[in-house]
Amino acid sequence: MGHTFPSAEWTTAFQDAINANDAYRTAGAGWTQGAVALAVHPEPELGLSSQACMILDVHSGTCRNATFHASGTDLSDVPFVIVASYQRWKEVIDGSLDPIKGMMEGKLKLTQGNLPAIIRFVEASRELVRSAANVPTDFLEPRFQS
Amino acid sequence: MNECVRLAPGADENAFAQLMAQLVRDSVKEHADRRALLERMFGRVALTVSDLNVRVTLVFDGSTLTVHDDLAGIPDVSIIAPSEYITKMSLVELRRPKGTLQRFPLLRRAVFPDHRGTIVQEIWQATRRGDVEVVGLWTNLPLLGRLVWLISALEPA
Repeated sequence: MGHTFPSAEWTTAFQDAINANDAYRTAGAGWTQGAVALAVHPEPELGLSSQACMILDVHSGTCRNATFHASGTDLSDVPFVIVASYQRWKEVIDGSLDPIKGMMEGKLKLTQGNLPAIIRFVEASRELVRSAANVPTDFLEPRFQS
Repeated sequence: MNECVRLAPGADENAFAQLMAQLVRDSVKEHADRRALLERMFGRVALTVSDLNVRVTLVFDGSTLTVHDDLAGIPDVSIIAPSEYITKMSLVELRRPKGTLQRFPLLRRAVFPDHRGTIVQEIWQATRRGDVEVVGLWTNLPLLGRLVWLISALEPA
């Protein structure tokens, strides 16, 4: 049985997966630019009434801390914020959407942070995605009202 | 604000145009020398991401960069490449002139793609295979070199 995405349990499992990923440790070794927030647009039909997000305190190839915020939290102090719909995050996690390609198509948006820094660590971002793919995940299904 | 980078009307609907504008904005904000570089650039560069079927035209007029959706005018250089190589253009290794070239004041501050760099070699091989197509490469080398410097995510060696 997997962890529901997004949730506090999934976020903790993601942190563990990142720290277990040797390739990320190498690719992200130079990253000292600060935390990265991954935010999911509100989607009431999935039970996400407000923007949910995970804040990953990634530093020098490790994830020092990962926190989950179920409802809109202030992200103004987070150096990097990437926002996407639930469906897009699902595609990123299952490996069918490359995050950089997704940004080129507007499926993922960097709403805060320095784009050259993200590009410089393009391989690290791919390793983060590979780490996410290693987390047993249960995705939310639309709630139909009778 | 970096008003030296603008989106042409209609380009705000094109995510790739927004991304290129943001990349150049961040680049000139971080590096004063790139702002000066942008102010010396003239020409039109069309960038087509072949696997995503999106295209933008970068128009340099000597003071600003305007990013247009799709084709705008006749480009001096046209680059057609998959997203992987478009991203790699920002990761091209750069170097400053060394040795005797340092004696020339104009060249001293210049930055060139390092032809021995791994990414440069990869892009060159992709061009030879036909995965990357550059129209107007040889007649517009200075413009292309400046573009690579402008959008680079790296520091020159």
